[in-house]
Amino acid sequence: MKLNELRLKTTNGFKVNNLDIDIDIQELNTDKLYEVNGIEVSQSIKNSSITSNIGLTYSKYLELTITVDNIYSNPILVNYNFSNDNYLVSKVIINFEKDSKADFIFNYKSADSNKHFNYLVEEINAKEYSTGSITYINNLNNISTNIMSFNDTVLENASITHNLIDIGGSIRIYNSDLNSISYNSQNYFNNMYLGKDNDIIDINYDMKNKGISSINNLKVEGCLKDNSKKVFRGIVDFIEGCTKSTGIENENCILLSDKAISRSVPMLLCHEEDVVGAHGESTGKINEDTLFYLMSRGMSKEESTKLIVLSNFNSIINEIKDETIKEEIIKEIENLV
Amino acid sequence: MAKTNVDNYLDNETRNIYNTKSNNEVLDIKYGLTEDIIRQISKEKNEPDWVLDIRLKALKLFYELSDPDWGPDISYLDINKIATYVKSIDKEKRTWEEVPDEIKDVFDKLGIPESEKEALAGSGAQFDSSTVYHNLTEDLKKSGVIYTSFDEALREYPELVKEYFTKAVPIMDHKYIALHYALFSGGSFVYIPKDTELDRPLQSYFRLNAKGAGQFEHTLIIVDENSKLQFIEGCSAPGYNELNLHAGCVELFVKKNAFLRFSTIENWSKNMLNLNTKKCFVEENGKIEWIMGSFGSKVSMLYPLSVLNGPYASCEFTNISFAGKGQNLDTGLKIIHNAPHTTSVVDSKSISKDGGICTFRSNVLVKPNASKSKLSISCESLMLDSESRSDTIPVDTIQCDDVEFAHEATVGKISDEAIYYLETRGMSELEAKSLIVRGFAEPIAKAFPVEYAVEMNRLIELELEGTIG
Repeated sequence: MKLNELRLKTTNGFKVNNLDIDIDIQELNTDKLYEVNGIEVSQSIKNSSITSNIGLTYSKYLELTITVDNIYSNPILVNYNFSNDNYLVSKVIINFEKDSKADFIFNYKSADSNKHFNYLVEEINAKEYSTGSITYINNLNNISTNIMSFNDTVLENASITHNLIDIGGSIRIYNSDLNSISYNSQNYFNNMYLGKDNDIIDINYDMKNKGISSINNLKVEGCLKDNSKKVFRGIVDFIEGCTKSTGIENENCILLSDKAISRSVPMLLCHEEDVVGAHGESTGKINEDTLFYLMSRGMSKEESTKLIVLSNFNSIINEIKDETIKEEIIKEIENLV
Repeated sequence: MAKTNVDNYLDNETRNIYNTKSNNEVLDIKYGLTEDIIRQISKEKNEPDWVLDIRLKALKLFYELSDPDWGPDISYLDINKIATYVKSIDKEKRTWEEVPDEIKDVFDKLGIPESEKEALAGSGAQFDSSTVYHNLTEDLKKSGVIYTSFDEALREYPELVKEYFTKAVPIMDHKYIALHYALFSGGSFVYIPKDTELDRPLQSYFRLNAKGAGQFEHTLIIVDENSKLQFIEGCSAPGYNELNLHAGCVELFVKKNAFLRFSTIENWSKNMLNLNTKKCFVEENGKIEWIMGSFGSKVSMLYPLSVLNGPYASCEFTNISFAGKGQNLDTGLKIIHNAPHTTSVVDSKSISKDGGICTFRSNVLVKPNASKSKLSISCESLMLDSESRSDTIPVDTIQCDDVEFAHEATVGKISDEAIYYLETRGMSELEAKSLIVRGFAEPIAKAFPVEYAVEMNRLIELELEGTIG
């Protein structure tokens, strides 16, 4: 099936217009997969089809609705522990009411070595002057599949930050439709990924500046080793009328293997004169001078490589607002690199 | 259903010298695309059978292949309404005096004979489907340099042409290259022998004069080992209220240690569909420099490809596009790094105004064997109003870990601070904006030969007239 179709197609020769992949579609099986700390959540099993612009459709899914209308000083933790033949198709709706503030961490882990499947469709509604951060951690085992679709609508003076820490699973497919629609609406999306073995990472992020003085900022830091393959599609789109807006996208990819393949499509679409738009992209191996410097200070090549990769990821990992989870992720990355 | 409703404003468009229309006598004109027409063209040119075979294969492919499902809409192009072959002259001439006055006048106004006298090692001129003039200095002829029309090269150097023709751009590449190979007529052939450096450029000028006509010239250039060439390609056409079509093809071969600078100003009228294809193969330590300016046309789809096949081969690509009202310029480049230590540097700028659309597509492929390669891509877009569009669509595929690849793009308007500064120095707002636009384009203008830099600045002036200039 064709997933992650690029909104604006380009030449077919480079195989980036979509992801052509077979996904094993099964029935919903939540079986008490998740636990939530710190907030009331309503849940229901829905029978109508789940829709997202990623291209996958399921007839049955779990819907969790989280309404936030306070200021939460501690992060709200939603833990998913996959075991046996768990697979989950879920939709999470988070409404940040006016002036509210909250940080969420959704932590997906495999409790055993069975193959797991996770498909999430997220919907965020950020009302005026609200502030929210949502951190997703994909730490599923290395034969699992993780598919996520992030969608938001951000109103006047509201700010939403997405963080995606992506280190688990062999097939990882991500998609976003983020909309900064009013005056000073702000969307920040930070993604770090680590590809290994034969991992497939397929990304299709779409960020639209619609409101005056709106901000979209996309930052992607990645590392590919072994035979892993990554396609990054990023669109920053200035819609007519979004004067004084800013849209920035940056992607950096470190290649640790000559068998790894990196494909990037960082698009910048502009239909408004008075904006600041920029994208930057770099791909290559670890800087030899930095490596040499660290090794001259007594570190092994392996330790130096780990340190450099981690330092690239550092700014995104630091967004995790739970120290225990942060330490866990750093250790996991050290093991994987 | 053909749609040739070119915007009304074109009727009033003043393009000064570029709009000069010739009332020359047309010796033969053919409309549409059939096997019969293809056979007639080939027979008139007295071509060998292998060339006719290519034309017929291409004809079949054209009807089999689909329009691209990306980029600007060109579905309204009806090839049966295009004059696919327009013969203006019986035999190409060696002196300008022999060229019929009606045609010569046009080239005089464009300054072509004058440039030849002052700055060129050789010059060629094509009018519609016919090459009307081709000449090269005697000393270069003696040193083995070949510079002829493509039709003449097929007759005089068939083995050399056969070795390279269709090898860089295969006939099945896309629908409109198939159209080109079915109908190709005119163009230039250049062979620079080993160890030969031309101190002055060669220039071919392509003029499409006839209303509703197509131009399908084929340019083939081989720069042999240790040699150097600068080649200038000029293109222009007067404006009509009917659709014209340009589907040319350029095949370039840069051998070991050779250098080629290929400069073009695409200055088509705004009723033109410009579907041009250009490719270059570069061998060890060879270098291709593309310097391009895309100004005219209703729609342009043009993405020159450089294939860096030998170690230390390199490519420099410098480009500017200017899209005004009713224009959709979808341009860019492709680069394939297919050997170690290869280098490419890309600097592209675009300006959009009055609802014009500029799209920059860069497709980069670094193959697994291209270790120690370096790539740097920079594109800047300037928006002069919010009716316009400026899109950047890169596709970068890196299959080798030991490379340095960087890509950056920016889009924005003219800085208010810069306008304010110039106003404090006594300029009006309009003068300040005009100066800033010229400054934005200046690094590209510097890369062109002087005459073309002047033409580029003149074109920018024309584009800015009535809005900010």
